[in-house]
Amino acid sequence: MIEDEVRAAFARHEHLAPLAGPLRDRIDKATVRRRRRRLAMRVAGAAVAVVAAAVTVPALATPRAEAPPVGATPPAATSAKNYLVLGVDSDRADLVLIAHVPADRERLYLVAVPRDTATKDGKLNATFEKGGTKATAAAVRQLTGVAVDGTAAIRYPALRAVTDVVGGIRVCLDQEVWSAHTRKRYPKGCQKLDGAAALDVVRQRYNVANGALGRDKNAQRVFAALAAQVADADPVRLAMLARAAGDGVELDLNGQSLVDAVAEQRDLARLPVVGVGLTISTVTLDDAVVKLDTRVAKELFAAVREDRLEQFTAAYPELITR
Amino acid sequence: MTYEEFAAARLSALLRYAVMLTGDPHAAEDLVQETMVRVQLNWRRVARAGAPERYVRRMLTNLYIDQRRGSWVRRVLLRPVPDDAVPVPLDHAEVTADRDQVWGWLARLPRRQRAALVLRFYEDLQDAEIAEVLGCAVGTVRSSISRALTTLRAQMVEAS
Repeated sequence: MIEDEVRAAFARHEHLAPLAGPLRDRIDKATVRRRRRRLAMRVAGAAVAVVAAAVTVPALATPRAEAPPVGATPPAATSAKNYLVLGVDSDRADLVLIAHVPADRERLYLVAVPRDTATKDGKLNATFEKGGTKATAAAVRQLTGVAVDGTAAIRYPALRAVTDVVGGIRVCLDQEVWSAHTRKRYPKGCQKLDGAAALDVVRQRYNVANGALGRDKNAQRVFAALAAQVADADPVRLAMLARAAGDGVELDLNGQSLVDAVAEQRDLARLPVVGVGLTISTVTLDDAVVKLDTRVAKELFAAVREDRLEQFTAAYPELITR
Repeated sequence: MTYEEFAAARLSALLRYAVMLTGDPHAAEDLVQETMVRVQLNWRRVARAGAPERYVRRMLTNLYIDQRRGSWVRRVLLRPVPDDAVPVPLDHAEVTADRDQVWGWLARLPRRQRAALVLRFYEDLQDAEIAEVLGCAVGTVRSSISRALTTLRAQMVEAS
């Protein structure tokens, strides 16, 4: 009887089972690593707060003012928001992120848009050079269909200064990074980076797995680590950070100071952050430009527009930056 | 119960179950490791579910069934060198060529069907319990098992 053969086959191979003892240790170590990485990724919220605080205030600020008058209609349900966050190196937009806040406010997503994406006249990073933040936001809209509710641009010297003020950041790289600029080697795994090193890592394109797309993931990790540091900063520290950032952080602050905006966004800063990035196999590479005409890329940005990123990341877990 | 108590009590059994699912000790180890990392990180939720043993078996089975290229396997796990912890398999001469065939055929079944067979003929679960693990109807369990056995029977006939 086939049932007996199957039963016997299973019983016969029980000896293949590995030993539990050594595996216990490996599980514990892997858990610690994963926990640390998750903590580091609680950035997006903090990163958004630091870099784009003022932009989020009108949409997300908890009302501290008076209660609505009796008989007033209830406030409209919160809707999802999208903000453009740019990392600017000299005069080029090196890093283009869509910070997406879903309607349920459960977490924050940082969706990387490849800087080498082809636009009407050149590449996305060149668009910033010619037309600044506004033009870049328009280009992103044209490419992905996502209209942003606000923008923030952080210049790399400010990123470096802020990193140094917080005393460096702890970042876990999933591949070794070799710097074409400084010839330094950043090993795979967790390490402490000062401002200069953080910038170095964020800049590397050619020696990173997945090229510029992989670099976006490292940038997400750096922002995440930075945000984690900033999220727990006291007001004195925050003031120092604001000074260090100086005019290297361009925010639409609506007249509010950076310190106040960050303080107001504390809750936002504590939301878990999920980094999402396309990989080489999910975009079209045409010579030196990236095209977002693949099915996966279209699905990703549709998910951003329609606030369905939770489903998208469940369907494509490999695109989540860890 | 704490996570440590659970792991101490169940890790060996989970490894055996994983070997039956994957057919390979390395893959079994990877599968159990990934499952238990998630269990440890989310222990409160697992413990709250009432029957951690069943919850974890469901998690592991789902990870096995959903495994595909570019999934957590590639992302999380690196295995350049086999472990010393894995015992050397018995000498093949001990097992007649005939009886190894079943093990080979099992490897070619679709994952859901293989999981159903393991749950019935190794874990000795009732169909209703199998349905709970696989997250499907009892009827689906029965037809999965029936289909799997039919395939194996056909291969057995062909081989003789």
